[in-house]
Amino acid sequence: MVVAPLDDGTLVARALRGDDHAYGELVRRHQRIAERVAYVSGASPSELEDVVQEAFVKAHRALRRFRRGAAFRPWLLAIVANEARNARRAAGRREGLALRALASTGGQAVAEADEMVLDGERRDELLAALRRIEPTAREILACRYLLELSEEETASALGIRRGTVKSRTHRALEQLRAAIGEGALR
Amino acid sequence: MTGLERELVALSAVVDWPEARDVSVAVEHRIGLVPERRPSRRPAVALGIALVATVVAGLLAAPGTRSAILRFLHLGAIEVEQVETLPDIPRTQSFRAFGELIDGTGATRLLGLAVLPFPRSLGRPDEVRGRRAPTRQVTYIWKRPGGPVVVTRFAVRVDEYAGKIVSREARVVFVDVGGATALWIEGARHLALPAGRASVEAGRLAGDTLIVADASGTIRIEGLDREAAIRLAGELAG
Repeated sequence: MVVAPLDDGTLVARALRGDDHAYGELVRRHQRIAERVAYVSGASPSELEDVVQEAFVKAHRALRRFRRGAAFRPWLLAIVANEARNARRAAGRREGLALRALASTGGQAVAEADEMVLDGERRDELLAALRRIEPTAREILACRYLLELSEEETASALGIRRGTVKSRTHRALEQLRAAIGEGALR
Repeated sequence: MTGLERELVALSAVVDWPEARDVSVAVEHRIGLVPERRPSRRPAVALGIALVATVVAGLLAAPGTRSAILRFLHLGAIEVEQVETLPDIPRTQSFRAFGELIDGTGATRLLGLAVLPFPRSLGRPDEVRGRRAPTRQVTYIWKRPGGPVVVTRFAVRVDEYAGKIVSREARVVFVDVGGATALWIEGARHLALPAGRASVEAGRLAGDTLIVADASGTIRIEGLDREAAIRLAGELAG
């Protein structure tokens, strides 16, 4: 007998068959990334809980329209991002994504995959450069690298085509390099 | 991936991401998943949900009573709460926590449905114990040198829940057992409570546990490793 955590597709199928527990597991599994996508998409910290909760409830109502065999997470993140954008519009906010460093990081950041280490100075330099580039460029870099979303997930979250993700990411990286260069000259 | 791209990935670890409270319980309430209710008992549903919400709010507001709730899971007749640290309440490992000693006839009468067959792999249990309140349950106990194997069958009713409080160190995962949804708890001993959230006065210390729920009720298996517990669940399901 195969024993493994159930994948999203199985949980969705079970939720559609009326398995009460399956959707709850999907919520627990994805709520952290949903919060971050909501933040990147314009929800304020105080709105995050309401936005994410509303998105999961709407996703549950729309579950019957979910295309069988498709990936659940990009579909969910599109709903989350849409809810966050609605919240931003409703509040009349125009400011873009604000990224700050944690207070207690000890000045270093480590990427698990390849043990890349950023010292405090480089970290601050990158954050400052991110603040200087266009909001759309900052959003796409946040999705692709900070949240490590796939191209499909990024396209869903930002409401753009997958091909646009590639080109916009390329341009955003160029902007960022230029912004880092400008910072170095100051 | 270029050096700059790798630096951005590394940067993620030090970004101060704002975090919201766990929304899973609120979502489950809004879409009607928690707690399970029969349509014919709607007034009790509303009362039950309000009661659960009140108890949760009370517990969250009283850090001395219980540390913050990290996860709340619900499967069949069992509520599982994952918290930072287990509450400091009286603990027992006595078999009397499973109720009075009964025979097979008493078990059928007590549970109101067909009791589990004795599994061939374990044979006749050393003890059969049963309880009507706060949950209707029948428990088979096999006493073994390495620790007892305990199998409990619960009858699921609207007002009957048993509970488990597990610490952050425990691993709680949903697994598939022959097509039925199951929860596997491992890695740290946890507290088993006789009546879910309503009961925090005393608990029984339990080890790795498999909880299986299907249309006919809820089965809890304690004292076996995961593979053995799943084999036993399959055997009990026939």
